[in-house]
Amino acid sequence: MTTPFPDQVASADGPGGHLGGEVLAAYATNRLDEVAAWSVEAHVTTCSACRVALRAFVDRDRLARNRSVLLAAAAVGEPGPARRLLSRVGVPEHLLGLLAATPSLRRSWLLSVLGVLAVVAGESVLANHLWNRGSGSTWGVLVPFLLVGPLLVLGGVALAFLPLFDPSHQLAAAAPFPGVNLLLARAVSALLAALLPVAVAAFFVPGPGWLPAAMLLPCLAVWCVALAAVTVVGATAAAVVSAATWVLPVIVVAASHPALAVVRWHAQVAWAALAAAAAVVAFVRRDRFEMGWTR
Amino acid sequence: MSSDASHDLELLRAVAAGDEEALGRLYDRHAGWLTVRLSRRCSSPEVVDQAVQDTFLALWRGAETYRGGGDVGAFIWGIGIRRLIDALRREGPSMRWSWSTRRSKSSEVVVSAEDQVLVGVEHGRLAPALASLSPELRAALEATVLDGLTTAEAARLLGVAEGTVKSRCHRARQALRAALADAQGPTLPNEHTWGTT
Repeated sequence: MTTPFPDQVASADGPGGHLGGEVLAAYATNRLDEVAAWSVEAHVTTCSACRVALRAFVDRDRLARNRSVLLAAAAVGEPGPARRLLSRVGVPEHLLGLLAATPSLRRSWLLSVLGVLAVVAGESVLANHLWNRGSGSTWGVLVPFLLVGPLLVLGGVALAFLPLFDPSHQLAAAAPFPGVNLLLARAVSALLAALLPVAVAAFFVPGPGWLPAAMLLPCLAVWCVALAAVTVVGATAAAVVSAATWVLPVIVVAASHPALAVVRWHAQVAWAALAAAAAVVAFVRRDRFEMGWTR
Repeated sequence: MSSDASHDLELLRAVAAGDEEALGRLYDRHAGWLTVRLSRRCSSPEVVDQAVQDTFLALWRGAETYRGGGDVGAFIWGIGIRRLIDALRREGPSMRWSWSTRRSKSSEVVVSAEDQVLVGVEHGRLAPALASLSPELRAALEATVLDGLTTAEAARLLGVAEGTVKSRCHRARQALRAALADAQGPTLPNEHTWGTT
C-alpha cells in the first residue's frame, strides 16, 4: 500500500462491495436509522477500506488537534502527580500535553538546574567562609551565582524554543494552535520553572537578605530580551544576544564596583526599563514568533 | 484487503515497540471511524476525543496487546468503547445520549436498494424485527451484541442498572424470536403485546 489514506470514498458499486459515500455520510452524521447503522458498524468493523473512508466525514482540525495531543502525551509518558493535580484544577488537557513536552520542564532539565545552583551556591558559601571569615564586606564571592541565575532562566527558554532539543517540535508546529500562545505558554512555564529554584538558592548564598527579590527583575529582563530577540533574529542568535545582556554588565560591574551593584536599586531601575522595552518589542512583533520558532 | 490487514498488524507491532511515527499512522487510519462510532454513543465531543486519545495511548503504553485472531478494527473498537465508558464515568451521566435524542432523527436517510444489499439490511426478517423493538431494548442489544460489552459494561454505558440491561436483553431476544418465528413476515405483532414482562 503506497497510499494508505485514500481520501475518496469507495463507491457503492466499487469492487469488493464497499459502502457508498451517501451511506457513510448519513452514518457519520447520525442520519441513518438505527438498524442500518448497525449494519454499517458491523461492516466497518471488518472492512478497512470503509473505515479509512469514514475519516473524510470527521472534522480535520479536530482529528489534527487530537493527534498532536496524543503524540505529545506519548512523547512524555505517564502523567505524573503534578500533571494530574493541574488537570484536576482545570488546566486544559491539550495545554498540559504540550507544556509537558517542553524540554525545559522535563525532570532531567530541572535536576540539572538544581545541580548547577547547588554547586554555584556551595562554592559561594565555601569561598565566603574561607576568605572573608564572615566579615561580609565584599560580595565578590557572589559573582558566579549572579552570573548563573538569569542564565539558567535563559537556558530553559532556549530549550523551549530551539527545535534541536525538542522532540515535540514537529507536532507542535503542526498543531492548530496559534503559535504565539503556544510559545508564550512554554516560555512562561520555562521562566517559572527556573525562577523558583534561583530565588530559593539566593536565600542560601552568603548575600544580603534582599538578594532573592533582587534576582527576579534581572531574570525577567533577560527573559523579555530573549523573547524580543527571537522575533528579530534566529533562536540561536537570540540566546546569545540575551545572554550577553546579562553576562557583560555583571563582568563590567564586578571589575570596577562591588559585585552586587548590578542588582542594587539603581540597576533594578535599568533592568525594569530593559524588561519593559523588550516586552514592547516582543508584543509589537509577536506575529514573527513562528519564524523564530521554525528557524 | 489482506495487505491492509497486515499493514495494520505491522503498525500495531511497531506502536507496541515504541515507534512514534507508527503511532501517528495508526491514528490516521483508525481515529476517524472510531470518533464517528463513539460519537453515536456519547453526546459530548470532548468525552469522545478523550476516549479516542486514551485508546491510542493504551496501545502505545502496551496496556492493551493484540493477541491475533479477529480484525484489528474489532480489537481497537473493543478498547475504544471501554475507554469511552471510563471517560463517561469520570464526566458523569449527563453526557450520555438520552433515549429521545438517541432515537433516529426525522430527516432519516432512505438507504437505496443497492446499498441495502451491501449493508445487509435486507436480509430476511431480522431488520424489520429489530426496527420494531423499542429504543431501550434496541440499545441494550446494541451494547451487548454489536459493541461486544459485558452486561456490567453495557449498564455503565447506558446509565442503567445491570439487572435492567439483563431484563431488556432478555425481552429483546424474546421479541426477536417471536418476530422471526412469525411466518407472516412483515405483519409483526405490536411492540406492546410482547414488550411487557
